[in-house]
Amino acid sequence: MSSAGTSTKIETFIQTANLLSRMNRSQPGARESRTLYYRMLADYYNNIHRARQEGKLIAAHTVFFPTEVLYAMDIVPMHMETTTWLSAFLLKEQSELLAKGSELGLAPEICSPHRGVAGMFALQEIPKPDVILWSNLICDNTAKSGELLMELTGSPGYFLDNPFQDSPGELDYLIGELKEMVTFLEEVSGKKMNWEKLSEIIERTNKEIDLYREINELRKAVPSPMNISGYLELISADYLFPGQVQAIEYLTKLRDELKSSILNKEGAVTNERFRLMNLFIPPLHLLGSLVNIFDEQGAVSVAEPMFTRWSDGKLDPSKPLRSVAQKSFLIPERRSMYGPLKGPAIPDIVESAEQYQVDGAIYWAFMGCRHTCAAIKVIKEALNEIDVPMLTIDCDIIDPTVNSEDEVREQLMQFFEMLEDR
Amino acid sequence: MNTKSTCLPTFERFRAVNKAFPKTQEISEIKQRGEKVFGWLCTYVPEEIIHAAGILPVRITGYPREMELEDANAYLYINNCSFSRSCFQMGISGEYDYLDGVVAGSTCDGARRLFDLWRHYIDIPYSHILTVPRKFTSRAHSLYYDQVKLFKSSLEQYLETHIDDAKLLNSIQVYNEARGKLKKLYELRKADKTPISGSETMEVLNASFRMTKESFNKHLDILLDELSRSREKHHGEARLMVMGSVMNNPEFIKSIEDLGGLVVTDELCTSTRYWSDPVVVDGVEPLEAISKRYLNNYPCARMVPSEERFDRIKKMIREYRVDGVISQIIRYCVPYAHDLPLITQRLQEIGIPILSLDVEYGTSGSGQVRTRVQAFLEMLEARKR
Amino acid sequence: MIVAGIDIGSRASKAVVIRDNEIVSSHIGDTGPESVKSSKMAMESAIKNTGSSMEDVEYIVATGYGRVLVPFASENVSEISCHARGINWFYPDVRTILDMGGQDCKAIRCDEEGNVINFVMNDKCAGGTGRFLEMIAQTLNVELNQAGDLALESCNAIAFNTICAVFAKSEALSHLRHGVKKSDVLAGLNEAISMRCLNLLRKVNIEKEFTITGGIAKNKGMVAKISEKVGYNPVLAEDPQIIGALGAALFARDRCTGIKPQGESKIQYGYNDATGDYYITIDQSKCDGCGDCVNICPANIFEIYVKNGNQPKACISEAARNKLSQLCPGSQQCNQVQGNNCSVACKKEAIRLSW
Repeated sequence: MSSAGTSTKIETFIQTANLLSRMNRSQPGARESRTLYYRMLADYYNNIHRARQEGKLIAAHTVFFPTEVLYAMDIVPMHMETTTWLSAFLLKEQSELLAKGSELGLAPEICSPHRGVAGMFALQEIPKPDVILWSNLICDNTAKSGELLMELTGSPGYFLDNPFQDSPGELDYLIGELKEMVTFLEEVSGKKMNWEKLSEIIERTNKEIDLYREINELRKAVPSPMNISGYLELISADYLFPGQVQAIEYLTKLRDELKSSILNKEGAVTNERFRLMNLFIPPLHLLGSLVNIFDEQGAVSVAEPMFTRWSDGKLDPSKPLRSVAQKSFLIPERRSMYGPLKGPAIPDIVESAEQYQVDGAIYWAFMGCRHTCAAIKVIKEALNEIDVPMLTIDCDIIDPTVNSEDEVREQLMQFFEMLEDR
Repeated sequence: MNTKSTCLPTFERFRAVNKAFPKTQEISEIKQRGEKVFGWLCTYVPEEIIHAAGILPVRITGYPREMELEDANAYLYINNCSFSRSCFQMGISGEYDYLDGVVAGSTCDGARRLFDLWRHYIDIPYSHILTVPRKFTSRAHSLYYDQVKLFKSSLEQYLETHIDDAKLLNSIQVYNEARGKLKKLYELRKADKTPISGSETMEVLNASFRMTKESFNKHLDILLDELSRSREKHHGEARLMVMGSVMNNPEFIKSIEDLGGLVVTDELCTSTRYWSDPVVVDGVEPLEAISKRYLNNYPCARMVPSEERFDRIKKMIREYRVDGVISQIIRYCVPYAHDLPLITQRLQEIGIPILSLDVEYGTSGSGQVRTRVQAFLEMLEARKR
Repeated sequence: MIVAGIDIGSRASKAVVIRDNEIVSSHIGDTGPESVKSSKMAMESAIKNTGSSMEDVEYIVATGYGRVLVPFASENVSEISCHARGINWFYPDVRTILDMGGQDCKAIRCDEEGNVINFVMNDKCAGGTGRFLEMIAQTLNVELNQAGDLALESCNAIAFNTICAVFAKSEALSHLRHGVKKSDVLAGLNEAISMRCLNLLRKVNIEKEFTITGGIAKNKGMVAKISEKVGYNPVLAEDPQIIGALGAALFARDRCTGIKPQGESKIQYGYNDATGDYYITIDQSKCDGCGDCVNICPANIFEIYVKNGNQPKACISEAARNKLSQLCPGSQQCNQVQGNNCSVACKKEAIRLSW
C-alpha cells in the first residue's frame, strides 16, 4: 500500500494482467504479441505502483496526451481513461465509479469514462497523482475534466490547449503550449527536461509509426490475420508507451506474427466469412463475448481507420518539442475526429473500406461521445455509395446498463444474416 | 400563447420581429436589395467583421419551443445537444434558406458539428470556422488574432472587396452602442422594483441579434425612453439569476416569474455573455481590438480557467443582489454540465442556493420545472426569515 | 379551527383534515383521469369522517402533481415543502427524506423546523417510481401490495442490468421464462432501484434521521433494501403516503393562525387556459385591507372580507374568479386606459398580475 491513497486497484490490475499474460502464454497457438500486450499493461501499472518508492512523480492525463514529454522527464504517466476502461474490461467494477461520479454532481450525459475518472479519484482507489494534465484533444469532456480533478486530488495541473485546424500559426501555438507545460513540469518536479532523451524518444516514435503503417498494410491480406480484440491492443501501445521500448517490442513482434500468418495463409478466425470495418470502440465490458461471436460467425475486424490510419509524415528528432507537437497532428484520432469534418475523416473511411475489401461496417455509437456520433449519417451515406452496409449500435463504452449483451448479439446476428444474403 | 398588449409599443415591435424570425421583413428587404445575410453560431464569432463587409449577421437559434426533432436526430444523432439539433432541424427544413453564409468558431462539440453538418447538407455559398483557443494568455490572443485576420481575408476574397479600417471602426462603434444600451437596460433591473421583467428582457435580446444593429439601436433608445416613463413595477419574492446553457425562450423565464420570482439578471450566451464587454480601440489596430474583445469577453464554460467565469458570476450576483440562482442545462450540453459541481460549491461558499434544472432547448417550463422552481422559491422564502 | 391539505399525486389523491392541534381524518383515493373530480371526492371523503362539512373548513392548501387544478384550494405549495413539513409533525429529528412517488423520486434535506434546505428530483426516467413497480407487478402477475413481502422471501436476487423501464420489463419476462422465481426477480429489481435511490440521496448528503415517504414506503422489501444501502434504518410514519397532504394541512393552519408562514403567504386566484395564464396573486402578509384595489378596479373584481375577527383582507370575488380573463384586460392595459391599476394603487404592493 502506498502512502498516498490505496493502490489495491492498481495491484489488482497488475495481478490480472500478469495472470492473463501467463494464461495466454500457456495456450497452444497463442500469439506472443498478446503476451507482450498484457505484460505492457502490467509494466505500466507497475511503474505507477512503484513511482513513490522510486521518487518519481505521477502525472495523470487525458487521452491522446503527448506523454513523450513525461517519459523524457522521468515522470510516470497515468492514462486516466484507460484506467477507468480497465476497471470495466478487467474487473467489471465500473458501476461504483460511475455512481460516485454522479454523486459529485456530474450529469449522466457526460462521457462515462470521465464520470468514472472523477469517481475513481474521489474514492481514492488509486495512488494520488502529483499533477493533473488535460487537453481539449479530443473533445469537451477531456477539456473540462481537469479542474474538478485538481480539486478532488488537491494537485496542481496544466491544461494543454490543442489548436483546432492546421492553419498557419496553429502548430506554433501548440509548441508554445508544450514549452509552457515543460516549464510547469520542471517547477513541480524539480527536474529538468532531458532534451536528448526526448530526441531519442522521437527517433523511436518514427520507428513506431512506421511499424503501425506496416501493420496496417499487412492487415489488408485475405484472410485477415487479426481478430476484433486485436485493434484495441494495438492502439494501446501508443497510448501507454509512445516512443518507448515496450511499444516497439510489441509492435515488432506483432508485425512479424502477422507476416508469418499471411505467409501461411492463416486467418485470425477459422472460417473467414465477414470482413468488417469497426468504427469507434465497442463496449469494453462486452469485449469477451464479442470475440466469441465474431469467432463463431467467422467475422474479423480488418480496418478501424478512426484509430489506426496515421497521417503521412516523419518527425525530426533534432527538433524534439516541435516533433512532439507534430506527432499530435499525425495521430489517427486527430484525423478522424478532430478538426472540421471536411477534412480526411470520411475519405479515410471510404478508402479503407475499399482497400481492405470490407463486406460491412459496424458503428459503435457511444452515447457519451457527441462529436463522433454526429458523423454517423455522413459516414453511412459515404459507405452506401460504395455499397458497404453499416450497422449502428447504440452503446456505452463502460456502462453495462445502457444495453445488454443479448441485444448486441441480436443486432449483430441480424447484420451477419443480411451480409450473408448479399 | 399569451398575447398581451403593453404600454411599451417598442417592446411589441421587438416581439413582432422575434415572432417573424427567421423570415423577418427587414431581412427580406435586405435580400431584395441584393445584399447578403450571414448566420453565426457562438459569441466567439466577430460580428463586426461581417457587419463591416456590408453583410447582416444574424444569430442562428433554434425553435422557440420544445420540438420533435426527428430529422435532426437522424443527422446529428440523438446525443448532440438539443440546441444544435433544434437549429439543424430549422436549417434542414429551409427556414434559413436565405443565408448566404455561415460562420462558426471551434467552440464546443455541439456547435462545431452543427457547423460541419450544416455545411455538408445545406446549401451555403460561404462558410468559415475560426479556431478559438481556450485560454486567455497572450499567446492565445495571438492565435485568435491570426484567426480573425484569416477570416477577414477569406471574406474579402470571397466578396472581392476590401474591408478597411474605417469600416471596421464604424462597425465597432455601432456594436459598442448596442452593448452600451443593453447595459443600460440591465442597469434598470438592479432596482428593487424593475420596469422590465426577465422574460421581457429576453425578447429584447432575441431581437438584438436578429435586426440590423442600427435599427436595433434606434428602437432600444425608444424603449429605454418608454421604460423611464412607465409606471410598471415588477417585483418578486426573490431576486433570481438564470444561468447555464444557451437559452433564449422568454416563456421559460416567464414561467419562473409567474411563480413569484423576479429574474433580475441572467448569465447566458444569449444575454450578458453576448453584450458584456465593449471593444476598446485604445491605440491598437481596430482588428486587433476586435479580436482582443471577443476572446476576453464574458467567458463561455469552454474557457480555461473556469474561475474566470465563476468570478464574473459572483460579481453579478453581488451587483444585482441576487437571492438564488437557477441553472438550466440543456440535454447533452457537456461544458456547462462539467461546470455545475464547481459553481455549486463556489456559490455555496457565498451562501447562494442554486436550483439545477435539466431541460431541453426551447422549453417553456413544464410542470416538473414549475414544481422545482416553486419549491426553490419556497426554500428561499424560508431562508429569509 | 378546521383546516385541510390535499395531495394530488399522479396515482393517488390524499387528503388530511386537522382540527386545532389534531389530525382528525385522512383519506387516500385513486387519482383517476379527472383529477378535479378525484380531488373533490378525496376531500369530501376525508371531511365526512369528521362530522363537519366543506364550509367549516377555513383554509385548504393543495400540493402534488395536480395542485394547480384543485378548484377549492385557497393556495398551493410544492410537495417538496409539504413533505418536509409533514414529516416534521411526526419526527422533528428527521433531516433526510426520500419520497418515492407515482412518477418521480425526491431526496429532500430539511432542518429542525421542517424547512427545506436542499432537494433533488429524479424524473428523467420512470425507473424506481410507483408506476414502474406497478408495471413490473403486473408483468409478474403479483398484487402490488404483496410485492414487498414476496421480495423478502428471496435468497437469491437476480442482478438486473438495467432499471430502465423500457428494458426492465423484457428482462424480467426473460428471467421468468428461464424459470427464475418471482421473488428473486422482485428482489433484484429492488436492489437496482435502491441503488438509484442511494445515488439520489447522496446528492443531498444523507443525515440522520432518515425517512421514506410516499406509497412505496409501504413496500417492505423496498424499504429493507434501501435501508441496507443507506446504512440507516428509516423512521417511518404510520402512513407514509399521507405525509404530503399533512404538510399541506399544516401550511393551511399557519395561514389561519397568523403565524408567519413558511413558503408563500400568498393566495393565488385564476387559471391557465389555452390563451395563457391569468392569475392574480394577493400577498396576505402585506395586505392591510385598505380597500384601494376595490375602489380602483373598474370591473369590481375585488372584495374585502373579514374572517373571525381577524384583519380584513382583500380577495377576488367568487363570481370573478373563473372569469378573470374576461373581466380584466391585464395590468398594463388597465394602466394605459385609466392611468392606474390595482397593482400600482396598492400601497403595500400586495397585488400581482400575471398578464
